[in-house]
Amino acid sequence: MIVAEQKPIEEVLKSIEPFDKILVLGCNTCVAVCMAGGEKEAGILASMIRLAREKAGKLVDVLEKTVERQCDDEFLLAEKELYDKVEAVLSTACGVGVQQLSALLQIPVLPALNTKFMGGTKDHGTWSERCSGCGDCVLELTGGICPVSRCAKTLLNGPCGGSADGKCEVNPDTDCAWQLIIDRMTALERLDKLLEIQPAKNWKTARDGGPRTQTREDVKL
Amino acid sequence: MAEFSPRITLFCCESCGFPAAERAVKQGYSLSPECRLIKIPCTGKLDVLYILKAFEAGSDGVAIAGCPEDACRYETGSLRAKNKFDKTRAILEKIGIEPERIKRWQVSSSMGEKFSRLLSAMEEELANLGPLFPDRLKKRGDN
Repeated sequence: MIVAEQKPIEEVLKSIEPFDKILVLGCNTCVAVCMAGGEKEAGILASMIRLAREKAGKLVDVLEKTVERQCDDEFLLAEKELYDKVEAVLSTACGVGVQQLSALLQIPVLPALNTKFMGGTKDHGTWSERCSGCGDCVLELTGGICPVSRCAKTLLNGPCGGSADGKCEVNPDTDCAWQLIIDRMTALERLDKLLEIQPAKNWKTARDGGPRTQTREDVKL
Repeated sequence: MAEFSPRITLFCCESCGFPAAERAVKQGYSLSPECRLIKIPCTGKLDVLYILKAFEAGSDGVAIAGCPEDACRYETGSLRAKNKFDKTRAILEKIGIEPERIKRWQVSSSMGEKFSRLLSAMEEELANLGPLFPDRLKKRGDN
């Protein structure tokens, strides 16, 4: 899922300061799972805004709605009549949802979240980065542990000299990804695979090649 | 001008907080008509959203009356309530509302006297703080 967290409320309040009627639009997919921007979090944010603005003596009319996914036009367009009633939309989606909606509307669409990473649930209330979307997956070579997203140096031939007691020198709270890879490959009896030296990664498939677009011609009408 | 009587919403656990309130009344405590008791299965079920909605709906203060932390029949309910309480206090502070407007009490069902003492103290504190939204109070008075 895409993991995000709510922006500081001071920043949110500043961004909506010029407006007297806004829509807080939640997203019920990734950001609902990581408890940042689903229906409940959008409701809490809307309440916080109403209370803060009333306390400051500048009342604001806050509408609330949550759609299934803000990264799909079909869900966003279903709420068309709501956008006509407000001066701005405060989106609790990730950066993708904000941009998707912004492209459809003539009014400002403001982000309520900071989008952090693609990750998984570690334990209740904790999420960890697991994928960088490099476009050329190497997990087959590394026992299902990604050195691109989980090694601070993105090494394909690790570990580096900074690995100590299974921890990363960048952050002693972080497991060394290459220690995890070696442990896992040992358990899988595939350690010999790590003797193959991996060539320098071709980053053309990643962000370095600029914004990416993917098209499936077979599903187009 | 009439003396300000704060409006308080009390979220009460059905096992401890609510029976404690009932006991307080049976012992002769006079509950203010501005106090609204909401019985919930466990204060662990309480959410930040419910508390903020109570303030939005016109409460000058909110109290959470749950079981002592080591006596929750659902084991972690009171601890969950503590997390929600701490988070809500932090939110109130950030949006310019006095965090003293929210209280968390740990009372067992037999603690009617403690319940009434805590509520009286809260009413006094809120009366000193004044209404959350003075403009709304004026309208309340006009009606």
